[in-house]
Amino acid sequence: MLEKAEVVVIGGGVVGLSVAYNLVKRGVGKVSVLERRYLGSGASTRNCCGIRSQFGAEENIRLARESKKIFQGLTAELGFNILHIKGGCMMLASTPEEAEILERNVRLQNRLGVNTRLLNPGELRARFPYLNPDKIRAASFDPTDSKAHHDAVVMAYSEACRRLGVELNTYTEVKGFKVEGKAIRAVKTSRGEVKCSRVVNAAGVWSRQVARMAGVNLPNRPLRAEGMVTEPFHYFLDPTIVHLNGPLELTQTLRGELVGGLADGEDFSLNLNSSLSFAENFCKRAVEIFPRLKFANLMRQWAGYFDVTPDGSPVLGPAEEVENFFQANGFSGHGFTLAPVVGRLLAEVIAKGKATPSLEPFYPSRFREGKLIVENTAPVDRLSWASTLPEASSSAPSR
Amino acid sequence: MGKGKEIVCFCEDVSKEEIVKAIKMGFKDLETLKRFTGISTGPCQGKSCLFQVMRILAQMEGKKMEEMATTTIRPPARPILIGALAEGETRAGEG
Ligand SMILES: Cc1cc2nc3c(=O)[nH]c(=O)nc-3n(C[C@H](O)[C@H](O)[C@H](O)COP(=O)(O)OP(=O)(O)OC[C@H]3O[C@@H](n4cnc5c(N)ncnc54)[C@H](O)[C@@H]3O)c2cc1C
Repeated sequence: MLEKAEVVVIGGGVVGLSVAYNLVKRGVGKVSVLERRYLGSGASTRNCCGIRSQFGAEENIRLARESKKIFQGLTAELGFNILHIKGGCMMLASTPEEAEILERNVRLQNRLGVNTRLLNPGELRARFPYLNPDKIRAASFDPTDSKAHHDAVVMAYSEACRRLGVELNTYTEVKGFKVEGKAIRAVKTSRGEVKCSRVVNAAGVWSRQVARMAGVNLPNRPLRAEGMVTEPFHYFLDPTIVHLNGPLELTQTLRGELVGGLADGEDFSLNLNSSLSFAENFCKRAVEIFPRLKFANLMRQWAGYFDVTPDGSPVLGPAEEVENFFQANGFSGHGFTLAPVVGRLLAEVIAKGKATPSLEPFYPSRFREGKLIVENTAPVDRLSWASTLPEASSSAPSR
Repeated sequence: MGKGKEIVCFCEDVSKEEIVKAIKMGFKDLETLKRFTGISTGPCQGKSCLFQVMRILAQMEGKKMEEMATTTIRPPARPILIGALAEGETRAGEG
């Protein structure tokens, strides 16, 4: 392990790897990734592979739109097939409140040049005959949304990192920091100390714990979300399907398997054991929307977490308390989509030392300043904010 | 018998040669080796291939089998119909 690195990236998930890759590409010097387990062991290989810009906050739409562009060329850029396909994403609503969210979001997306459309019941039936129309009040569809295989994306970034000389330290846990004044001077790990001039916190749902070791308070909370995969089928399901209630997600990868997931409830245990109750809840809800799913076999299931912020938007940029400590977390269930663009923008800020306009609204200081980026498709309202967030609870959005 | 491919994972059709190549590329962790090659993700969920792959990895890394850990074993033990789970039928017999 290096004794000294220019930048230390904590977390070897898709976000940390994308940041590390973009940093070395910009030539910032030695970059070291510290990962407690294996690369991709967190949420990055436990998600539903969906890539969309159907969001409710302008800032998120802009970021996601950039990320979608990067995804299109990512196989070529990284020299590794990420099994990317532009199958579109369909967002579904069952209640009047959910339908209103979709309608409002489509108007905003259209204004920003994203061609999302509300599908009427006839269109829905004609184009997506496998969905149960009785359970769907509204559906929005963006044909330019896409999906890629989560394992392949993690491997594509990690292989590119390896080629470019990023030091990838697996089974290396961050235990603390050496902080002097408003700066981290070294990172203490289970395998020794690394001196560094900048640190990136991309530890997913564990980011709050990691930040606390440096005396930085993050408002992020853990929402348990589990996933499952079926046996492979002949490829038939192009779009990613996202039901706002949950969210519940379902799609098919280019390997043929159907991948699905459901966000459950708040859970601070952060244990990664999957549960039978998830399998039952998910299957019941998924069969309601997609009846013929009942004939598929569930092959494997797993547990994961969303790292959710008070406004449902990510925390990106330097911490106020410790200025060389950059946050790349709080993705609230959208980190797979945003990883490519966040890697680029964060590397730019770190290399240039000054903010870029598209990133600045996401700085951690926004919670103190009350400049929230309210994301109405994020499952913020499933968490108990009031008890721990006195300063932000009044402004915490509800859906 | 002629010299053919030595298959390690029948479900996903992965040969020993492909495993060796992946390990040489740097996929030395069983969890990432699984994801790169696809072994143990088919209908048998690793029951017929995982130990073979662990043996190859142990040999190449100069480790003993006892030092190797398996991947996380994920439920269900065998494939279950989603329809049965949706109906709660897998709990039949429980109080
Ligand atoms: C069921 C499910 C479905 C999802 N579906 C989608 C989707 O369709 N689309 C989408 O965009 N997003 C989706 N997401 C969200 C997405 O997976 C995450 O936002 C994204 O993977 C976050 O990546 P990350 O690299 O920040 O975090 P992670 O992948 O969790 O990586 C963090 C890493 O940090 C490591 N770490 C933690 N603590 C330490 C420490 N002290 N020292 C060293 N290392 C440490 C962990 O081991 C982990 O590997 C889903 C998530 C789940 C759970």
